[in-house]
Amino acid sequence: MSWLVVSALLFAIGAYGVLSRRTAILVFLSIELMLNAANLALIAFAKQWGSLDAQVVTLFVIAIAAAEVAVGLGLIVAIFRRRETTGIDELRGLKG
Amino acid sequence: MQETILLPLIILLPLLGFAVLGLWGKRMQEPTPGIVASALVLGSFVLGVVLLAQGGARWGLEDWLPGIPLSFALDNLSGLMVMIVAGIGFLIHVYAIGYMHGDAGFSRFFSYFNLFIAAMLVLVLGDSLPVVFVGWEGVGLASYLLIGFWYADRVNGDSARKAFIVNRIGDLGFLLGMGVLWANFGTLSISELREAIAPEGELAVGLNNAALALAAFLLFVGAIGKSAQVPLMVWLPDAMAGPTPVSALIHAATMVTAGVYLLCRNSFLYFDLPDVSFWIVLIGMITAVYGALCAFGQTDIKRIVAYSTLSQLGFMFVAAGVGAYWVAMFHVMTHAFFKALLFMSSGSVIHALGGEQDVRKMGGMWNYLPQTRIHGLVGALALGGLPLLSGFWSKDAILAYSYEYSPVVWFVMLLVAAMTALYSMRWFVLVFLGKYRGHEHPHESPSVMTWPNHVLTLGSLFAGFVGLPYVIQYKNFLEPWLNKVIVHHEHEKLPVLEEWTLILVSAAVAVGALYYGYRFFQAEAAGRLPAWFVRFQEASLRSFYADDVYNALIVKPLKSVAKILFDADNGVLTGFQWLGSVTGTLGGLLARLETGYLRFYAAGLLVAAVLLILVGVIR
Amino acid sequence: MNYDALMHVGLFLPLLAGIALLIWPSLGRTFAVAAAGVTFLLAAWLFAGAQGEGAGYASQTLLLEPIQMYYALGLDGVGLMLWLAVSFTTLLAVYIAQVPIRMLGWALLMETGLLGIFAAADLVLFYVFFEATLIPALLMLGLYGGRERLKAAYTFALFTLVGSLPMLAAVFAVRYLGGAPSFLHADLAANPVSGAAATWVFLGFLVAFAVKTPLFPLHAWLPSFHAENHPSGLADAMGTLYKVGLFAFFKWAIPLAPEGFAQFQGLLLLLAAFGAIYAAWLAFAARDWKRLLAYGGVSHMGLGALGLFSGHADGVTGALFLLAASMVYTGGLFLVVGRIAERTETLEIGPVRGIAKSAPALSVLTMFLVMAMIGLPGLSGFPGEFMALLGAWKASPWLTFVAFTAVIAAAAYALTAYQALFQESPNRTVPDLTPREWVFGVAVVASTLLVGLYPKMFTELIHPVSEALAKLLGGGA
Repeated sequence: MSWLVVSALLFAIGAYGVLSRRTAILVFLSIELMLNAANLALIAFAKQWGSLDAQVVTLFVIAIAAAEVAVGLGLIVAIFRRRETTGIDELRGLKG
Repeated sequence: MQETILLPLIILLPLLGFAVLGLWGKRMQEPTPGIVASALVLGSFVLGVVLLAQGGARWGLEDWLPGIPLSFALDNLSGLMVMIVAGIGFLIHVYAIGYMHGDAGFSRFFSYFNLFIAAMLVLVLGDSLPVVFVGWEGVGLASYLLIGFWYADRVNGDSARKAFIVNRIGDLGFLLGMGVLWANFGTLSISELREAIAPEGELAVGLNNAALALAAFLLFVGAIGKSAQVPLMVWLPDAMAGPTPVSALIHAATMVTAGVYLLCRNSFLYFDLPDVSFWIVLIGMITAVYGALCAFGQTDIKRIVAYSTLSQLGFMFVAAGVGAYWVAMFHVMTHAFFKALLFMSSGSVIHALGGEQDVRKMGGMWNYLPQTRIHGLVGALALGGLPLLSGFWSKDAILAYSYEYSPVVWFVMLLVAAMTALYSMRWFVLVFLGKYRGHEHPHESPSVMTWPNHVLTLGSLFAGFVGLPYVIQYKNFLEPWLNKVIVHHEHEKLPVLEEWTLILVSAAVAVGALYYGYRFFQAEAAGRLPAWFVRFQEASLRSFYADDVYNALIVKPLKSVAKILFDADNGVLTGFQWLGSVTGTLGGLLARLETGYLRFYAAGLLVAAVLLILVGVIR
Repeated sequence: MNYDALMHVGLFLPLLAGIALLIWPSLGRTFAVAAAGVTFLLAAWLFAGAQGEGAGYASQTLLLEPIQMYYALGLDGVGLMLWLAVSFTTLLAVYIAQVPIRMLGWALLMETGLLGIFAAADLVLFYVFFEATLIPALLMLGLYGGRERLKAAYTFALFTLVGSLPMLAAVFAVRYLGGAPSFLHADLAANPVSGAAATWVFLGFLVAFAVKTPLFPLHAWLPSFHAENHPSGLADAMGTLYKVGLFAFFKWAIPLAPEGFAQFQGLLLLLAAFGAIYAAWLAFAARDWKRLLAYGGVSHMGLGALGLFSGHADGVTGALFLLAASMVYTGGLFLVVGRIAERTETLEIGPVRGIAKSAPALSVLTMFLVMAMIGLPGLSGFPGEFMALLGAWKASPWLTFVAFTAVIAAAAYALTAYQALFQESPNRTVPDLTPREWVFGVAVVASTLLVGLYPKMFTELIHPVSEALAKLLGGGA
């Protein structure tokens, strides 16, 4: 149970980070935090129910997250090269 | 009755003339188109008479339209009309060869003339209402083309258009009347309808009388339009814009009597419907009075005659309304003679004066036109009902039958007869007597124009003797001959004394009025009329403002509403476009949510997720 | 002779010829005329081969197995009559209209679409033809139209497409809710939808077909469509052929959802009658020939619609007859107006007067067509109008009376415009008919006369079909 509380706290911190940070790097970091909170929750459930399924899913998530980090960081670097900034409030060309 | 292909040939002959003259007439030398056209009409006449002498004929094509045959029938009634249309038509064709001499549209004129004869014969011979309607509209077209014959003049075009449109109002009645009959009887063939409605000359039992009356009334509306009865009379005087032979043929002798013919042809509908017949009598009476009153003030030689036509058509409708169908046809016949004669003498006068139509610039033609003066005199006297002339006999028969129907009708019609005698004398006096008031050099018409008039003069003098009243101990040919095919109620003959009284009264009135008119209107020629009469003439000249009233009450409002609607219809489109732009605006409002701030989206995501989870937990 | 093969050839020949013409415009007008001429001859051949009761052609090939969609064509009397009308008018149009050569190619493409609409015996196939025909129509307007062409094209496209979506829904609904095994007309008609579904299915069809009838108030696209199209009248004539709404109601909407039709019948009769008199009235105020003819067409289609919606066999026959006849005479009038516009450089009514003096044959030709339009008996406009009236009277005398006052109005607007252009004192001389126009004129006049004087030729083929529909609706003859 306590593991779930930790997971929830971790998720909340991540969400707060996504909403409050203005640089892309930090937003990205916060997203990773939320992702790992989810991983933690999965592990906790796996332990509770004694099932390996959730642990397998967690392994998948970690693998995909690694790939995603590579792509995400690559995008941020590319954006910085073009626009000289990673401030997400300046990157608002897509709007109605 | 024989089944023969020769019957449609009666129609095809003039139709052929229309096509040939229309396509190649321009390449012919001047009198040729006229001769071709006249010969073809004469051919129709001869063919018609021959077939009639053999006891009539019929011809048909089943299912021309689903359930509606294309059928023609030549019986005594249509035979009489064929003789009038083709016979008098032939005379007028011959006359027109002289009258239209030198006109640039000579061949076009005869082409249209033949078209008219063909259409009129379709109307007359048709044994199925839609076929009659084909002719009905066909004569309307020919009339339209001929009134607007000299189309370069705007007035002529306007008159032609007016005639066509006003006629169409009546035509709508005809169409709807056919709709009623079709819905109730499932057939539009006249002979089948007659079998269904009045077998054995008696009204069949178990008929839907309301529907029958409606059908009869609607067909009557059609007749009102074609025969220029009140309230659809406004087109006929304007129709005088056409060349004079047109007025003689179409707007006096034949086409305008089509309405009367329609009533007689379908008498099985009307003979036992007193309500509808009452309306026919009423409309006929009003028209007779109105036409007579209008004739007093006209200054155009042809318009005087035109209004007299209106009035005489009223006589015929009264006859049909009181159930004396054969008398209506009798008057159609005598009227065809003397009215064609009057128009063509007017035409000869106009011709003599180089196109002048104003009676105020005429007078004294008695001294210049030795033949036309006789034609004019006989025509006017026959119209005025001088005893023993054709007009007297038919008008007297109408008066006798109206007396039986109601003495009130008789009295009104007697007054109209007196007025008829008065204005026919006015016409004669102003044109032929006194001193010549113009500056032309009048000359008598060529013989190609006078000979047809000679024939018509004979007709006007003697045609009445085929239908003498029974009190004269001589055979009445017409009545039994027509009544063989017309459904009607047998009527009680008036006592001999009463009949004689009526004859003498109407003779006395006619003679008196003719004489009085002869005296009175010499004053007009001299410009010494009583003041009240001059005021009356002013109103009469403008037809008692009928045109002005119609224009103000109907034509103008319709036109302005058309303009308003036209703009409003653009509004319909704008309305649809507005609907489109509303959608666009709504989309624009939604698009504002796309701010471009990542954190705004993220917050939205979060809030939505929390809400969804909450909903899930609470449920 | 395998007539079915002729049907396929006739359907796709214009398409191929049109594509060829778009790729190689140097093939020229002669090629287009030849293609349209052969198509007309094929249609006439098919027509001649189908004399006799209930005759017709049918052919089907499975196209999409999973949804049971067929390439199915069927021509009964109605279809044959409309094939004749379409192919004849197209032939006239490509023969006479003075337009860029590629435009003739588009017209031929459109002809295939139109023939397909009338021949399709599978609902999806019908939908494909119904929509595909829009493309050449829009392109002709957009490429060769007048100053405001894009606005007119948008309007036209929107009206059509907005109608098409509910129709697409109805296409699927009618099959799956009705439980038919395929999209074939015969299967669908044997399994009509019922209840609330019928209402919605009919409504879906209604919107699409009312636009193409055109039925008030969905006629609003038509005047600008005609006014902005190429002055030659080619696109207008083709557009007139595209007014297939009445046919679509007759063939699809009513038989597939008769219960739905019964619900809307009163409203439809009312709209038809009102539209007839309303449009005729407006035509009187029209200041140019194309708008006049556009409104006149709306008015006459209103009369036809009144006949069709009456549900009586006479009315249905009248409606279909009027549809086919009006395709020819309205199309012919648009083309004649195009020829006049080329001489006088204006489509307006008023500035040019009295040209009958210098062009008598042209004036006679126009008079003929105008008289056909206002339903003069003996010409092609009358039989349809008259039968429609006979049927409509049985359904609703009052509405018939209201609607048919349009025949009075028709005389007023048509003759007024005619007089303004041809009569009165001339202020302009124009050349009379050229030999090419003589050929055109003789052909169109002969057709209106033949159809008007001997309507039996067509009514005996279409009346049995109408009777079948009337029987389905429970009405008598």
